[in-house]
Amino acid sequence: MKSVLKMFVSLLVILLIAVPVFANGSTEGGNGDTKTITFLSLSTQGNGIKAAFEEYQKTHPDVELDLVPCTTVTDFETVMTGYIAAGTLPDMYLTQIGAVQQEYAANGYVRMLGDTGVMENVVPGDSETIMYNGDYFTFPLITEGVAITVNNEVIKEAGIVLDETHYPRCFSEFLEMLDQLVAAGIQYPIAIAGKDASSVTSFAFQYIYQVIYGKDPNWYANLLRGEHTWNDELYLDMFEKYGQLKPYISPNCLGMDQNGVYRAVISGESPIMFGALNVVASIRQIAPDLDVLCLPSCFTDDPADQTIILGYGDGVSICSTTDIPDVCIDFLKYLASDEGSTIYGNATQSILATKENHVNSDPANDIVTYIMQNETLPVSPMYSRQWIPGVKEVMKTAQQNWFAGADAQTVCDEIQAQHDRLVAANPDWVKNFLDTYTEK
Amino acid sequence: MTSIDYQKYNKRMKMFKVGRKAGVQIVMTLLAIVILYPFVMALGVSVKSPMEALLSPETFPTEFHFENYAEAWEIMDYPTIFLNTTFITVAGVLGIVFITGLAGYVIAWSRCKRFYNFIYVFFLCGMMVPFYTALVPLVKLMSDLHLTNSRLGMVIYYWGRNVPMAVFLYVGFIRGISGEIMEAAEIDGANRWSIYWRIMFPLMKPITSTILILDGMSLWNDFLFPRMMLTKSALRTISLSQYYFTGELGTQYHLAFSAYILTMLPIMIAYFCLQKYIIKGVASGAVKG
Amino acid sequence: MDLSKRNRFSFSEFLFVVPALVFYLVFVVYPLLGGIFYSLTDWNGISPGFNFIGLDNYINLAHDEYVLGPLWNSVIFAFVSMILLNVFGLLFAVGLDNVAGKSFYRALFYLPSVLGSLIVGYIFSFLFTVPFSEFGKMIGWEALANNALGDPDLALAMGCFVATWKGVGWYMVIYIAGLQNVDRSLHEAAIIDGASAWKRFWSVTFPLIAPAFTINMILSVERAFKEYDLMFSLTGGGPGRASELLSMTIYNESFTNKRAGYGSALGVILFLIIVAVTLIQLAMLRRRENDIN
Repeated sequence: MKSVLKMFVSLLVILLIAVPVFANGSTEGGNGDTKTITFLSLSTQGNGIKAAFEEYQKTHPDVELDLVPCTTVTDFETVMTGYIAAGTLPDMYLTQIGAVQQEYAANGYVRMLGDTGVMENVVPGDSETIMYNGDYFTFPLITEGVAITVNNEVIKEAGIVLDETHYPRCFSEFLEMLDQLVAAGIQYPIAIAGKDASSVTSFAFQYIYQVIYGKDPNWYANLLRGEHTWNDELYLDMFEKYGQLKPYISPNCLGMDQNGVYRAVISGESPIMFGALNVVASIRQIAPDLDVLCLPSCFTDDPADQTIILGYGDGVSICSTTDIPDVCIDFLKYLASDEGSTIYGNATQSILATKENHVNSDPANDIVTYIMQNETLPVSPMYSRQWIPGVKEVMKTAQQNWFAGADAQTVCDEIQAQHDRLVAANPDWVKNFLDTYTEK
Repeated sequence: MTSIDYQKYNKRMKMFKVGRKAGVQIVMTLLAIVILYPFVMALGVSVKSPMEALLSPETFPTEFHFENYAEAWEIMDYPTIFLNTTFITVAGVLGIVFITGLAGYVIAWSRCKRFYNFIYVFFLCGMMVPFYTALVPLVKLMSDLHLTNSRLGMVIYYWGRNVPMAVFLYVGFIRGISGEIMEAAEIDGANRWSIYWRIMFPLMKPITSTILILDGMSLWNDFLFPRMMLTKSALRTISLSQYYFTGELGTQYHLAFSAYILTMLPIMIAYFCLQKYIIKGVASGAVKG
Repeated sequence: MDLSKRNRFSFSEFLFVVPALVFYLVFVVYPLLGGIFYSLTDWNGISPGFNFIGLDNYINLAHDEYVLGPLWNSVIFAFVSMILLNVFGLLFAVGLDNVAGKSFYRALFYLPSVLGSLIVGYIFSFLFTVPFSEFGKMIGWEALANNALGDPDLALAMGCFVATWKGVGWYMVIYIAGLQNVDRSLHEAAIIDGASAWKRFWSVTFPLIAPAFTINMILSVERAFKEYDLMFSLTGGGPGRASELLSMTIYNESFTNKRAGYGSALGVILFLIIVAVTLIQLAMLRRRENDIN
């Protein structure tokens, strides 16, 4: 009996010692000298922020960075809602520029950046995507594109040459390339991660941006007005094309995660993947010297309609609730500067959206940067701002169901039903979107 | 049954028993392999080179990269997450034992039976409340009370959340203690406070250790609520760091699995040291209830 | 002794209960009432205002496919894992009765129960993706070769399997404790009487482990309905929403889709399910125990 009491008392003593050491976390670091920037970031970009901050800290030793990563954009949005509800917003955040970010701005959670001067460092682009009510809510760090990424070593072995002027220009040329690979002994040339929202929807989004917006530049606005539906021919055709690709995709794709895709691409088992340009950075972590190449999407029927899909990618914002706005603005200015963005760009292997930088561009981006600089292809914007919040999850579910064997019509009907549900749940968003929409 | 029949029967029974015993032994060994397999696999991946971990994670490692552990340790800031989790768990369970022991004692012993029976049932209802029902208001409540981003905030929340189960176990146990000692003490004129600490609390040792173990494990492994409440990386617990590590570096199997092994170690070591008590505690916790 | 005096309410005595009562009221009862309250509103969880919409949320969810799918998944998950955990828990307990190295096996089988569900999910997610699928290819079992977690028909079943792997030790330990009450001589007597193994189990062993059985049934169902971490890290609810549990839907509705009111209504439904299941099981099993005795 005594021993229990003793144990209890000794634990209590430990506790009493521990309490002051671990006093209330919220007061931590608040001793006046050091200021901590809590920074919520997509995990793929965390390295860049960290690297830039380390350099920044050399001249600002009194500032600390607390980086909180989120795996996916959906994860980011969920976490943010929780933080908003709990009143624990970070000081800054980095995420994909889109409708949800704009909503944060509309609800006043974001400190607008127009008066800070950082925006002068941004290359021209579709500024509508980063503005709310005439002011900027985010600083776009990178130019993001969605594209086809290939293991060029395997492609070369199959006797296919890819360079600035040689790449598939339309859907039939793409199929030709796939057939050549199959002839060279590669059973399933395309790797898709069925478990991963970005990977499994990448083809669909590329098709929407390149083909559907090619046919109707106001497609989503018209869809919200009821002039299009998800189960009309325009969108159903996407599955027809996707169906033609299906024989080239491994049947176990539904069980694959993004790692499985990297494994397949690096090992050469399936040398082709769809995704954002930043997948290159993930491949580099494992295979730094692999000959990887990004190609523009090629899903139109006519080569003349081919475009390259580019837009402002991930943006950095400052929360209006921060206690240290000046510190955040100063760090953002650094990120936007030549020096800061160069460090960020080199760490993430991305194409920057800052006017001045000295990034050693990854050779994987050679074709894309050539096209951008010489404007050999028109640009299809990434209409990420267009989507109603929650659409990505709907698309993910739909694509997974389609891979699992559901027919296109059923899948599209389901998307339509789920989309209706989102519209019904967010009437304000739809109204605001249509009110501020500028016809293209 | 004649005696010859009985002998025959006995012999058959014996052979049957031997055969069955060997069969059971084999089955148990197979099951042990099933249980151990994931751990062995995780260990294997954790020491591979990045390339080997990605391309052929399932094979026996060709070379051993123990530096993966050092790297994972560094990235997770292991001492911090370990101390955070320890603090939250220890402070959490001690508080729970303290407040529910007192409550259990009065509920079980008071002569004001009707009233305390009502209180008891009121507490028990809490066992059925799923965390998710209360999720939204709870998040708001924590924010209103300024308990977000605070280890102590988590601890205080656990003091409330784990009350029903602990009260249930304490009351069940205390009702089984013979009343004579208590009555004697009361006639001696000792006050309740000292009766509780001098006489009752030592008697409650078995059930206290059960509660310490059950709640300790649930607090140590808790994930969803800390994820929403503790956003600063300096406050991360072990579960949170498993989650964030997977998010950030999950594609790098060699590091992820080093981190998994490192984060599983404390509770596994604790389990192997206290195995006897833990199993006994769990069994008595359930059967007494 | 003056009984009436001793039965009287004593304030100093009540003080002993106050700390537990306060924490309980603040962190369990208040949020529960809050949840019920918000379930009657269209609150989005973040903006300051909301409308009181009565029972609309409940009416809507009765025919909302988006919700009924996960609800059904939760029911299946709870039912299957209840069966698996109890059958295997009991088999392990009986099997361990006369095996060499009993305590070693017992300790080993219990080991997964001390781990967090989250980490178990992460590890198994990897196991299904690579080693299991290699194994599947080897033995030519296509479902496994293609990663069973990616198959909408199998993902939930695999979740049950992993939940069993993780939890079976816990149930086993409780059955072992129950079996210790079984008198061996009673068993021997039954053997001599020529009772079949099944009959012996049913008439001798089972009545004695009935309390353990009761508690195991209730706990396994309750835990399954409250499960989140395991499925979250194992499948994330996918593919599609084939393995999404109600708990995940509540979280996603409340925070991803910003429908806190609707999410709360789902939470209330989950609460009612757990209450109902607990009451039904208690009533049924207590009756069974009485019948046998």
